[in-house]
Amino acid sequence: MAKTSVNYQCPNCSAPLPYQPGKEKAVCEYCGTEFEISVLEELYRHAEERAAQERAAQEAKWDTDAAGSEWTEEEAAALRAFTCSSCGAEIVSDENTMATECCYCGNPTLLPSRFAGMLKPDYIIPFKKTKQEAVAALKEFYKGKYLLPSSFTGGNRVEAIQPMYVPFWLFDAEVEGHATFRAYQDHVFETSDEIITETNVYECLRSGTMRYERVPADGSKKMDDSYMDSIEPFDFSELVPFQATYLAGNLADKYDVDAEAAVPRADMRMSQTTVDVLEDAVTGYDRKEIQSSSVIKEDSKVAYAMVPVWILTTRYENRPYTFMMNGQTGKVVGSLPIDEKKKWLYPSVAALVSIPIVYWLAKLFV
Amino acid sequence: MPLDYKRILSALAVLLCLLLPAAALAAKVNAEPGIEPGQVVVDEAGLLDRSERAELARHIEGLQEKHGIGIAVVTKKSLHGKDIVKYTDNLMNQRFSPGQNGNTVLLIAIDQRDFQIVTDAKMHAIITNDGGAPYLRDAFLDDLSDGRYQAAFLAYADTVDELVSYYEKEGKPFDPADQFSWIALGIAVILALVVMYGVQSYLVSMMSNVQPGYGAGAYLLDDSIRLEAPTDTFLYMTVTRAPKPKESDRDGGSDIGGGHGGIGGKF
Repeated sequence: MAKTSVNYQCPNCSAPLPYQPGKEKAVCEYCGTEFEISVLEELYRHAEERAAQERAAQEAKWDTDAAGSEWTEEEAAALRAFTCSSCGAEIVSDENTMATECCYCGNPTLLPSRFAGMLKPDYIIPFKKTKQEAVAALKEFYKGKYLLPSSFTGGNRVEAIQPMYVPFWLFDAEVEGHATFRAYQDHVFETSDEIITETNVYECLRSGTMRYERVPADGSKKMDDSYMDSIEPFDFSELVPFQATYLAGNLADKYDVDAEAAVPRADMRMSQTTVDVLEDAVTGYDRKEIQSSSVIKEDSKVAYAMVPVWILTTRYENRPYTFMMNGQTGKVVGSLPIDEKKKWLYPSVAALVSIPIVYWLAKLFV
Repeated sequence: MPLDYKRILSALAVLLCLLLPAAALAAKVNAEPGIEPGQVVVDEAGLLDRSERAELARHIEGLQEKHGIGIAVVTKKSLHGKDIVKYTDNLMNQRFSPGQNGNTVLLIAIDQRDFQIVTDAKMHAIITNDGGAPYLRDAFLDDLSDGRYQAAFLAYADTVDELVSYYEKEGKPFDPADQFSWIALGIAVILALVVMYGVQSYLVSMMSNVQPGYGAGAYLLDDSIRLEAPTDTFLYMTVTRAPKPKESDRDGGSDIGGGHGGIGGKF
């Protein structure tokens, strides 16, 4: 028996949308919207293409095995490892540098351990900011923070300042992005008693290629991802091939997130920006929303690098506060304590001052 | 020549006989039928019963005496197409202006459900177009619309009393903008709470610059972007219709000439 109907979904309300062969238009029985059959067929063809692209995107893999290399026996012999007995952090230094306390939890008991199980970084960004610059930058960071307790800056001393090389995985890739958007164009006109809005709805396909270089994802579980994201960007044009001599006088965090585990974060960041670029190319509409997207990696590679971070710790009312400064750019990130009295006092004053002004303005309209 | 008193008296008598009917006719032309001198409630449309009329009249007479003003309520079955503003103003000028300190008349034409208030120049200075007039109208219009005629007329009289008392006490006409507004205060308090929340959120947000990363824009090579030709396909069109908001017909009062003022409308 010949097939007499094909079932689509209404693009407007998602209800079943039957139509009879030979007819040029289909009308949704639920929302009443009318569609050209050729448009529906094109819509479904695009959806199938998008599904195939998404499958291809999932299959594309990063070559993580090429990241990092093995230490020579001589290099490994010159390194020392310490394990924090409190939080389990593993810190690496050269043989002349002594880690005196854990930079993550402040525990002074660090147990020497055998250096092993860590790849040799491909690159490093050497420290450009000094200890004095880190302290000055932190003091500058306090300025203009109206809710900062007075006693925090008054009686506060930075308890520890440590230069730390943090492990990062750097992802390079040429990506091919495809995205489908639903875009809306409104035409508003008025009759004597009605405001009529006609909305034309379009399906917009955008595709393109672009290249990312050195998208970072930190390789340390101890380092808060939000802190590491906030301390960016690093200028990776200043990367130099790694040499163990850069560790002299500095500490290094031993990575505990391998390259494969860092891939989802890098993928997410690149996909997000790729879709943003494609969305920016949808112009001439009043509104738009994404329907689907796929981002396929090509020509990808991963490198292992150490980046410089100053870690400054202090205590206030028996709570530790950690600040970090980008050792290359000097950017400081951190969260300051809040004075609860000030938190309510200042907004209350602003509210009380605004009442008579707003009352006077409101009287003009009521 | 000696005066002929008889002829003079006869001529005066003839003249008197000729003038008296003319004067009576003139009075009949100017006066409204059925309105007694000093009457303050004229209910030709029959909206009130006898006792309601008497009570309303007593109340108005008391207010007239209290302030030295004239207040009148007139209801008509129909104005037969006459202009209600001119008609009411003429009515006040001719029949209802006993007050030394100002006069006002409320007229109802029940067939068209029209109402009109007019004020003479003195009362217009007390009940101004943008101040007292809308306040006076709003005081009785709901009762009038709902058919509670006596309540509406009493509210009209009492509100005139209130506005005149205010003027006597303050030395200036009533202006709603001078009055305390609970609505404005409520709006001010709500917006102040919004201000408080906004200021607090801003101050708290300043205390930390730690936030998760979003995207990789800093690592995108701008000159590497190659976009393919866009494909835009029209899918369908939707139409929404919304009724236009109607402008309020409750605007202020207006000047009606000769220094008089008034406010009117439908009920």
